[in-house]
Amino acid sequence: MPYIIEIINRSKTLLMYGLMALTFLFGVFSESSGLIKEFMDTYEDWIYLLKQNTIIVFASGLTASFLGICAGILMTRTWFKRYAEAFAQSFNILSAVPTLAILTIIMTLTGLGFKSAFIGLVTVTILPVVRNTYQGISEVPEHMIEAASGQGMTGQQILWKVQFPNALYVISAGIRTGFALNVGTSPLITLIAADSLGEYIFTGIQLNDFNSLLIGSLSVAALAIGTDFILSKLQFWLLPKGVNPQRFVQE
Amino acid sequence: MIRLENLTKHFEMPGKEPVIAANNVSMEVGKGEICIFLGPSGCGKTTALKMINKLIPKTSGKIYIDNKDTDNIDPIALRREIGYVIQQIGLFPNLTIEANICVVPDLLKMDKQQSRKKARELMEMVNLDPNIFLKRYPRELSGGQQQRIGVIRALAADPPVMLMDEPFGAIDPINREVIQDEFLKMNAELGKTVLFVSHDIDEAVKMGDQIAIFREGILEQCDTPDEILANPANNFVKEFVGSDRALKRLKLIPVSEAILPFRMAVNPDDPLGKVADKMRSREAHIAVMVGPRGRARGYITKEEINSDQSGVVSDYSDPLPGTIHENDNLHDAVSQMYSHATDWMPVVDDDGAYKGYITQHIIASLLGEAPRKRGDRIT
Ligand SMILES: Nc1ncnc2c1ncn2[C@@H]1O[C@H](COP(=O)(O)OP(=O)(O)OP(=O)(O)O)[C@@H](O)[C@H]1O
Ligand SMILES: [Mg+2]
Repeated sequence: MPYIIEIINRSKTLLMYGLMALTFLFGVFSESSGLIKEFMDTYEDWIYLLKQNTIIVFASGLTASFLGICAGILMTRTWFKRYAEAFAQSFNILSAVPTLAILTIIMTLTGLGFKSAFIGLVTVTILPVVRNTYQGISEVPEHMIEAASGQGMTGQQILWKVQFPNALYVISAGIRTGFALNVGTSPLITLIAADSLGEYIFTGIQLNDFNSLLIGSLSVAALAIGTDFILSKLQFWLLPKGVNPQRFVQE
Repeated sequence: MIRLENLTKHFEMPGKEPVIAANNVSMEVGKGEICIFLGPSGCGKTTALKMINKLIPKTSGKIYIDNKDTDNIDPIALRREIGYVIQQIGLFPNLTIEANICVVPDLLKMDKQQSRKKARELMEMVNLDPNIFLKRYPRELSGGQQQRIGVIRALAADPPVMLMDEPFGAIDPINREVIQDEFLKMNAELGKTVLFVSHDIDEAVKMGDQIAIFREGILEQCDTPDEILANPANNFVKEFVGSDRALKRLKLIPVSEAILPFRMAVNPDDPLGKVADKMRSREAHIAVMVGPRGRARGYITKEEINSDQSGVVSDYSDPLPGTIHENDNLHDAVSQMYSHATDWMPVVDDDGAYKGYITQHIIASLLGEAPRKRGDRIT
């Protein structure tokens, strides 16, 4: 565990330096290219698209987390054990399918617009959540389960008092991965006619407008960083101390 | 009370002979007694234990607790009535120590305030400061500390029966002695029926009212520690208990049982002539000089008196070779005798008052006797 924390810490400082350099370059660059002017011109659009993008990311991300946890838990139940491996495998294969393909397939089923985009993002996000939930619960050591049932816990009590809480850290890591994929995919939903910051990017590509492209990608990057920051804070504060490696290494 | 009747367990191995982890085991442990399951690794101790709380389904046989056939008891209800200490400790990392201890009381919906209070008492019993440890998480404790929590967690709901699988394995020798003593003291009070797995013969001799020795699923001998040490049923048991089994028996006998029937206490101002008569009539070699408040002050031997009988005791007395407490066991006594290079030792009580003395000779003759039930007095 400590080395994971080490990597997190290091990547944090790297990120800081990167951001500082970026801000500097950005200042120089935006002055010379009229980026600021274009941004001010489309400011209202930007606010709207950012809002839409954030809404769909969080709506689909939370839905996917909930569904993913449920599915992951179901996969660990004894009656499902026989199929669980096959399921986990098919999930792995599914995550190898390009997200654009997923979006397109869903679009052919449910048409253009918010609904398809939402379903598409849920599909993208749910995979790591399911995988981590299944893995996290399966990896709770056998003797801990034995201690629980030896003390007279029912199957449900073992799940909710022992297995699930002890899998929480792994599950939350899955949720963070899922959200990262989600934000990364969200510009693509512009292609199936849903509002997102992707509009800047694709307009930029079509009109060869570099500034628009830049506004779009920087905004998505900021959204990604912001989302992960919020999730990491939630992870730090919401997970009970006993199962939260971030906290027991620090204190 | 726990009674096992022809308890058998076959682990089916696909394509191979089944492993027979318990083979027709029959035994009975009386209420309030501690029975130690002893045997080499893999002999089926854990399996036997886990069949009792139904963590492992038995192949055949019967298990009775307080004369009730456990086949007719719901496993969940049964387990809440049985304290279980698992070999791998198995505390829940997501819960504080306090919550870990109170798992079963909470499952049974016992009063929270009461169970937390009990948790504090139990912590103190195993030498852990509740103010420091109750709010910690398991990974903030050392292995030995965790193991102690594992033991008191099983006690929290005050179950009449305890199953303990090598509960003191991870505790250092000094603390282990302390906890063994505490556990014995506590059980003398609470009177729980305890099945206790160990592979340490010394622990078994110390803790057990009964010892059950297993080999490859077969119960080789089940008897009192003294009987097992004095009369091992077969070569396996003999080898398992070790070639120093006579010395181990010493631990079972308190000093008070080996005290010579005469005290041979004399006053400092007794004339030697009178003392010599007394010693001759008892065939004693030693008399102990006792002060006004009953404390042993020194001793005098028959040889010293023979040479000159004119003075009083205090003129000739030698300093004592040390003293031993009447509640210590003969193992302690013998090791003290060796370290003081003496063949006798005066015995004292809690107040330091002289009670009589023991000699190596009487100890040797005690060991030569047939095994005795605990509590029999030598006269
Ligand atoms: N689930 C299982 N499947 C097959 N064989 C098993 C199983 N559990 C135990 N055994 C076998 O049963 C025998 C008894 O095992 P058990 O765990 O009761 O030993 P033990 O006396 O507790 O040993 P130790 O002192 O090492 O804890 C061993 O030979 C073991 O390999
Ligand atoms: Mg074992």
